[in-house]
Amino acid sequence: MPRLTIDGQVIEVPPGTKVIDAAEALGIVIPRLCYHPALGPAGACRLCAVSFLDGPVKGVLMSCSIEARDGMVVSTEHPEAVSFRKQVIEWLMMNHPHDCPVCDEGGHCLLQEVTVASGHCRRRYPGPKRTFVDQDLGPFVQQEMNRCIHCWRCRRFYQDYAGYRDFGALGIGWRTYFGRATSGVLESPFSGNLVDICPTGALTDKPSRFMARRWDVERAPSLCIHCSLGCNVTVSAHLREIVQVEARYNGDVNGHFICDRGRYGFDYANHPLRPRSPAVMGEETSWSKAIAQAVAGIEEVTRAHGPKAIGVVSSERASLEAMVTLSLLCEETGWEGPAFFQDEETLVKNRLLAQVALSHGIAGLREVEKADLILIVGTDPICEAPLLALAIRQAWRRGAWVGALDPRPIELPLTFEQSGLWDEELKKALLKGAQREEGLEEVLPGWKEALDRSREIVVILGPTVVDISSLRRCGEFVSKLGKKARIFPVFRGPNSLAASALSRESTFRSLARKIREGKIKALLLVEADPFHGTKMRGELEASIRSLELTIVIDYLPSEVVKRAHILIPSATIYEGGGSFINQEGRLQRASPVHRGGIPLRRNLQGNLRPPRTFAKGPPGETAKSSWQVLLELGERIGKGLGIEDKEDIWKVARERFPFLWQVEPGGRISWEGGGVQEEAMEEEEDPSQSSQEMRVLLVTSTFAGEELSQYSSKLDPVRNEARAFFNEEVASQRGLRRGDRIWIRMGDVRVPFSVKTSPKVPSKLLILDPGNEGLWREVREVSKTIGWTEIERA
Amino acid sequence: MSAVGQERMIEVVDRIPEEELAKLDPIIAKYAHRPGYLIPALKEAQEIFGYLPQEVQTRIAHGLNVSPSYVYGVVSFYAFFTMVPRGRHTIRICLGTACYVKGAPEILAKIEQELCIGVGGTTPDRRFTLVEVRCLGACGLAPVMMVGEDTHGNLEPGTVMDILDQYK
Repeated sequence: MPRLTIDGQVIEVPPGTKVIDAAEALGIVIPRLCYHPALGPAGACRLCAVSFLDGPVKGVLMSCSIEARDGMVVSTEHPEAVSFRKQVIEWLMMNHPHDCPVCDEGGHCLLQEVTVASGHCRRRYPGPKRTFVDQDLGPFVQQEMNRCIHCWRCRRFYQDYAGYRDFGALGIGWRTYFGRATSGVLESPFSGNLVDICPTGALTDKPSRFMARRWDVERAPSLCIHCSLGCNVTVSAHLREIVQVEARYNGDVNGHFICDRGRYGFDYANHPLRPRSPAVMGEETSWSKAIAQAVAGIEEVTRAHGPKAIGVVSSERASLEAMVTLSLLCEETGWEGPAFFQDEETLVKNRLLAQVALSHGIAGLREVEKADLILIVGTDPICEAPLLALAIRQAWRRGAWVGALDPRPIELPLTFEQSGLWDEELKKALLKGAQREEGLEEVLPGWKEALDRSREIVVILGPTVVDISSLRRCGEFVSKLGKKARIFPVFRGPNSLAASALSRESTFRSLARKIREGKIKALLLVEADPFHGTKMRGELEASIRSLELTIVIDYLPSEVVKRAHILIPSATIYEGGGSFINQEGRLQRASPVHRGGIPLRRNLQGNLRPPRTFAKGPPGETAKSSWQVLLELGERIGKGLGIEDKEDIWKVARERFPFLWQVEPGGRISWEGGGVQEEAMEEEEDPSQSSQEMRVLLVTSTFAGEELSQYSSKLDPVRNEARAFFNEEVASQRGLRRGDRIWIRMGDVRVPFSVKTSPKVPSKLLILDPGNEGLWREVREVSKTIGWTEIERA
Repeated sequence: MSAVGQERMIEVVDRIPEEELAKLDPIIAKYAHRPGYLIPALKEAQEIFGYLPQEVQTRIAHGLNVSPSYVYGVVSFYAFFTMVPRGRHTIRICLGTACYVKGAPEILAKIEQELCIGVGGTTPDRRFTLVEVRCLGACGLAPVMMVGEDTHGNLEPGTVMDILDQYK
């Protein structure tokens, strides 16, 4: 352990620590522009120069590039070092356009900070400045190359850390240009991180450009709820509008980065059609009237048919507070539910996955980064949990072997083995693996060798494309691998783990069955849209239509909101905050960011003026979270829960659901109870075995298919079209080529798709990515199998 | 990147026709899917076309399985690659330290004056392109220039034009 002296203070640091980090551990922050903890040193900006007075090296040297060694005596304030740094700033500012008043980085610009700190205020060199022509890098990143100081952070992140190649360094010397060969949309789904990582205004956030000065925004720590990873973010709001989401460092979860879905998916909170005011039968009304109507309706149904005639539906995106309140309310009143999942299969799969993962040792993103053998089963990281792909890449860069068992043509920014197994074949392979762990060698060449030298194994497991018995097989397989293996579960929603723990037997499908049987007459939907991603639209529409009463509490302009008898708007995570349990069982809390209301900017544009009525709050303010609305409802029907505020919920929840609340926020839960019934679900017969038809697998993609980001206009430019993935051979036999346009007939509707082919797709499988969900509005029932007669060329 | 003022005087086709681009195919076949051979591939391509326009770079990028941005990065990094058409003979005048103190600026001024072009420019008859380089590694002969593949040393302002006259 090297011991060194920095500015008169002695510190002992682990071998390999850079001097700049050793100083930071002492609380001395050496100015830097190119050095970033996640990217390592580059030695490009020359700003972290310090004086080495004694020890193995001497003189003014770069503290980011030199490892701490025994006996070093370092001075950060030596006049020689200070004057060196001052000159570096002067050189860097020589070509800078000095356009801080119109630069969005102003106020949180590292270059601005160090310039002010150095005291540089007059440009002595009178010559012309170096200038560049800017490129259009797509909808997210605004380039302004004249502000660039050549720190190389962007290229190092984009190419080395994230593994995409379309953006890089061009040219040489002072003419070095960071950009693409030609203008165009950045290909990486992590491109937004360039904005965070750029220490100047060379790369800034395009969607929030010129919308607010940094010091004018309301900012608060929040969470990303666009997948189950639970990345930490900082959210900025300005004039009642969410304007920007940035990554917030959390070493246990996301590290320094987030994906573009999380960064630009926030716009659902500003949606022009977002429900802002309570409504009864589509007519806007006051809060008190809406609540009174809801209470009257509930009481009427209860009187006529009993409490079991009221079904309660929520979803995996509801906060833990809402889930807990809802569960307690159902117990108190005897209502049917709450149902958090679409159908029994999803519920059992989620529960099983949580159980299997928690009992084998659950892994988070940090464990993935440290693993040396990663097996992906039934997960497409880039589409389902994008940041996971970045974590896998970091492991791969350290030499990890990566293999995948998934029928989808997975794309990852790294080299990996994939076998397109599905269903029976997957089951067989996993069984073989469970019997003899090297059995996977046959499907994944290189597996055995990687297994022999592995120390830390992470199996990434998702419940969407694999069935229940495969999940169970996978659990057995992982226990065979022993202590060094962990499971990284990938769920669909941000609070799926809590939902599977709190779920009883009800699912939306079971409630729908009871609606058809006439047992359920009223439905209370809390932050749930059963129409999202449904395969049985026709059935669903009929069920909803037959209800006597539909009460919806939500903040999205969802389809079910349009069909609600009574609509009560609720607050998003940005206005109400909330707690969420991520895929590794980590309990995290988000703070409210702003008060909410109809964004002022929309008034200035002249459309959709807020109502000109007298009110105490801002127009369109939805200050109540769904759990507050539920408490009020409970109170009014005489089933008060004795809960006043958030603290009360947490206190009650700690007693009632100890497995969820035994940790402080930031810690991981360990959930022992809630075992999964061992009896096997009836397995449906494979209808394609005997026929010529292909089975259909519905999947989602990075920017299309996730419920909240569906409503974000910021992501519109990058959403993909509807795609159909065929096996390469099968497609060529039928004369289909990549990029062809086809129609697929489903019922009486024809849906357009663009053909994609891959040798990885099993021959009897057709993978459909609906892309923009609007296309599915017409389809009443998505077929389980599709024959070639239903496919025609457009 | 784009052709600047004086290059406009030369007849430049806007797009390279497809049959001309097909001349790249043997090079691409030789180095297909071998990203490490990018520089030799570009060098051979430049020998065919005299310069490396966008279409040529993109075609090589696809052939060698590297991103177009990477190819552009390499082309713009090395001074010997050019993205604008050059004359038949490239004059590379060394402005390295040794040549500089031995009078390279006077040589450069003389050439500029006689050929009526600046650094980076090409004569209207496409005979010469004038570029400056940092060091040719022949400091003992300073001041030095290269014309095409030939190196000429111990230059003097009075005689430099006689050397250039040999190149038609």
